[in-house]
Amino acid sequence: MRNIALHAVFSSLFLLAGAKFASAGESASVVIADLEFKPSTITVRVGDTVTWINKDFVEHTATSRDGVFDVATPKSRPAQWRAQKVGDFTYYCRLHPNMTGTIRVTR
Amino acid sequence: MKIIAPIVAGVVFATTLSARAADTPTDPQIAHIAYTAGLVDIGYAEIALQRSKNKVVREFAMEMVKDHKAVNDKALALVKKLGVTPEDNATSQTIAGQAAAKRAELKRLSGAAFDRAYAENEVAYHSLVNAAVDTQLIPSASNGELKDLLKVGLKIFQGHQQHAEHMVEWLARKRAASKE
Repeated sequence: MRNIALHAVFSSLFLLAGAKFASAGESASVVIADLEFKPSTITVRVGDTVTWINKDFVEHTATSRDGVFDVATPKSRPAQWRAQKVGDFTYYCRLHPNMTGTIRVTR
Repeated sequence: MKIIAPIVAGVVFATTLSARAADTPTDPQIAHIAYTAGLVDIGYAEIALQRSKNKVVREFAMEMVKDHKAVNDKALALVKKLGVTPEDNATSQTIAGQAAAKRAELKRLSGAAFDRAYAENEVAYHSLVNAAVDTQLIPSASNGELKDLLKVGLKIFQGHQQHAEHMVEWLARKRAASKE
């Protein structure tokens, strides 16, 4: 009986987590390596999450030129931003401004 | 005079590297030059952290300490792996000698004058070092891993140069706004 109750609780939690994940949209990744955002341009939809994975040995940022996002991308720890409106967002690294990229957000 | 000083220093620095190029630097010498150049910029940043109260300048200086230390740590790990001992040389000595004079100059300044001098020196210094890494050190390096590290280092330092240029422009706009 106790096992059945536990199973029901865990099943509910699993479904809740799944529902939350589904409502958060898809996920797209940008790898930072050798001072480059790879790929340099990605297209996502409103509600999708962009994850930067920094493989360099120095820290970076992903900073939009219009001030919509400014994400610190430390070494060996993924950093995320959720797209909330349609548009083309060009971004760069504040610490190394020679690094640039674009996120295209569609409906 | 403020403009002439970095130009003269640059000519001496570039001339030294060109003279060295006649007898192409060896990998142990290249490692020493690159490491020394990094230490010099850390030294400038440490003065900035002691003297500047400007948040933008201090953040830039902290970035210089972290990035150059990271590159130098990589360089040290590489020479250890390769069993290479960095070798002191005339170019390293010229860089270190010029840096001592610049550090003394910076230490005589304070406030906005210091911030401006530090920012302008960062642009000039990175410009010189980047040109040397690009045209002298990378082509002269014979070990592939050392060459790759220099190439990544160059991208990092080119980023620093752009960042420093933005800082110079920002300080100039701030100065102009304060006069209005």
